[in-house]
Amino acid sequence: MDWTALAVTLKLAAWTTVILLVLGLPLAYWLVTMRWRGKFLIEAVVALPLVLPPTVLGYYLLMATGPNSYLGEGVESLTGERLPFTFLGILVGSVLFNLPFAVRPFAAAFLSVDRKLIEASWCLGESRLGTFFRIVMPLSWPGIFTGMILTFAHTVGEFGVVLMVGGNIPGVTRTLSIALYDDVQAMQYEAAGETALLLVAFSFAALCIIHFFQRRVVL
Amino acid sequence: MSKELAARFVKRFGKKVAIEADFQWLADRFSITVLFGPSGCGKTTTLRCLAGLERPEEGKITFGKSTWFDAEERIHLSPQQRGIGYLFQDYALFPHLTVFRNIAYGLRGVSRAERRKLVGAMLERFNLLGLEDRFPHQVSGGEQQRIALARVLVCRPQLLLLDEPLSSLDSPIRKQLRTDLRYLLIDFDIPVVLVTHDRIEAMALADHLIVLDQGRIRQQGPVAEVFNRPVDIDVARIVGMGNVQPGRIVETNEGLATVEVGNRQLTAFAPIPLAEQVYVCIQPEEVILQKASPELSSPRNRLLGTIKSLTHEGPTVLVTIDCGFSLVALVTRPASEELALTVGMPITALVKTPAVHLIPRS
Repeated sequence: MDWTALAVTLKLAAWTTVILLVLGLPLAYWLVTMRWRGKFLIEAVVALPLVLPPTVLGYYLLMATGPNSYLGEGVESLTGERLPFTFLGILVGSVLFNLPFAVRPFAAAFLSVDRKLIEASWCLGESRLGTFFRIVMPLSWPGIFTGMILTFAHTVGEFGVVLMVGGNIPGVTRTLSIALYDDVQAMQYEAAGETALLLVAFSFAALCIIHFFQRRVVL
Repeated sequence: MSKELAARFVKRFGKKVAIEADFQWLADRFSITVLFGPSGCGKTTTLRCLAGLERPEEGKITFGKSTWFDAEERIHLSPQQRGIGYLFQDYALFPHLTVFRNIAYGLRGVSRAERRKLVGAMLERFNLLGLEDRFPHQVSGGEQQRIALARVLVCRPQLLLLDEPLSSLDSPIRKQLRTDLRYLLIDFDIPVVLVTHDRIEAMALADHLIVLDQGRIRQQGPVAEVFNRPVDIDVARIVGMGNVQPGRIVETNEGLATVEVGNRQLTAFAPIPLAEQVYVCIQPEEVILQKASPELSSPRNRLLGTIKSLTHEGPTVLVTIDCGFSLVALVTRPASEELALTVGMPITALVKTPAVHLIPRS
């Protein structure tokens, strides 16, 4: 078992989940409440990673953030680090690629909150932001929780983006799924089998949590 | 201080004019104004425009000195800025908060002790003591309504808006609360606008009545006047005028009109000149029934007929009489029993002249 890869994987998944919670909640709320005809464009962009091959995103990220690009220079001057082949690089890729897995459950949860409760809060003098924290958030936490678990689980299983942007640097960008691929390439089937089994068990557990949880919430 | 609520606005959905409202009244103390009309006539939308939950396309809404909405000046105060209380049809209690925290929701910037005191007073006033730690789904419908009212009134709004406050209750509680609601609200001395499609509710609760149909105000005034003297056939239909019959004025003499209905003649007041063709409106509760034909009595309209049907409705009986035309009378159950009313028996219906209301027919 590649413990370093496991640590990198968990670190990546945790950071991705936290960042998407902070970015995804306002984005989802904005998508739900905005009344703009072109809204579908943004929704489509958010959903794009669901259908796009991860390598495509990885390719564009690589091109956009390379040392010769403006974005790459900007990031380098800010953080002292380049994006390609660094942990920061795979984190950015992972956040972008997991956007729909966080934003869509969040948005669905917000939509399921009865509009009248929000209006009742306004009529009782509570501001829009206050209403979000006192009414919308507490009533949509099952959906928010689902989005977080999905994001975490999906990041653990991410392969294409990580490989394109991060390569395979042990302790930096080498995650479990890449370790598995590497082991198979090197014909180390026993190590590969262990990693594969771990990933199956983890994914199964994550989905069990989501479904068990949703059932309890519905009843 | 005299405050006036003045609203004159147009609300459109798409290109169609959905609502054209124009009303104003003194709103500085307790009084109930009822927006009355059939489902889908725009009552709730009108209320939502007053609350700031909908934005009209044209017009102006002012309350006292403050302008709530002005299309030309591009003013549209948010619900938060209007200081109103809004009671939603299904109460919209917050399901994740206890009864106590629901009622305390709108109390911001209030110390903990003060909050306890204010909410405690409301719990007592609305007969909710002992329920403060329950959640909304753990209390009855009537209790939910009182919690919602307490939650709104604890904030001391300047204007209270009630959207069908009794419609989601079961029938026995509804009757009870119809009487209690006025009594509960009167102490707060806040003007109330109430929306309903229930004519009994409107009659029981309204001081001032506004009849809406298809987004337009058809008639407004004191409740008795609107119910007994509708201006046209549509309003007569909406307020549930029990007897509407086409008639023809055959003679007008010294403010009294003789109207031919079927093969009978009725006497009615005719304060304004009317065309020959009219509708004759008589409220069923204004019809008096008598067994034998009286020799002499003050009601000008004595109609001999036979009973065609009897319909029992709670404590009252609807009696349909064939007296040359079909006339419906509403009497109490004991009266019906005392007269031993049966289908087919002859009966005399008495209607006083002021109870016969004439509206033009075109």
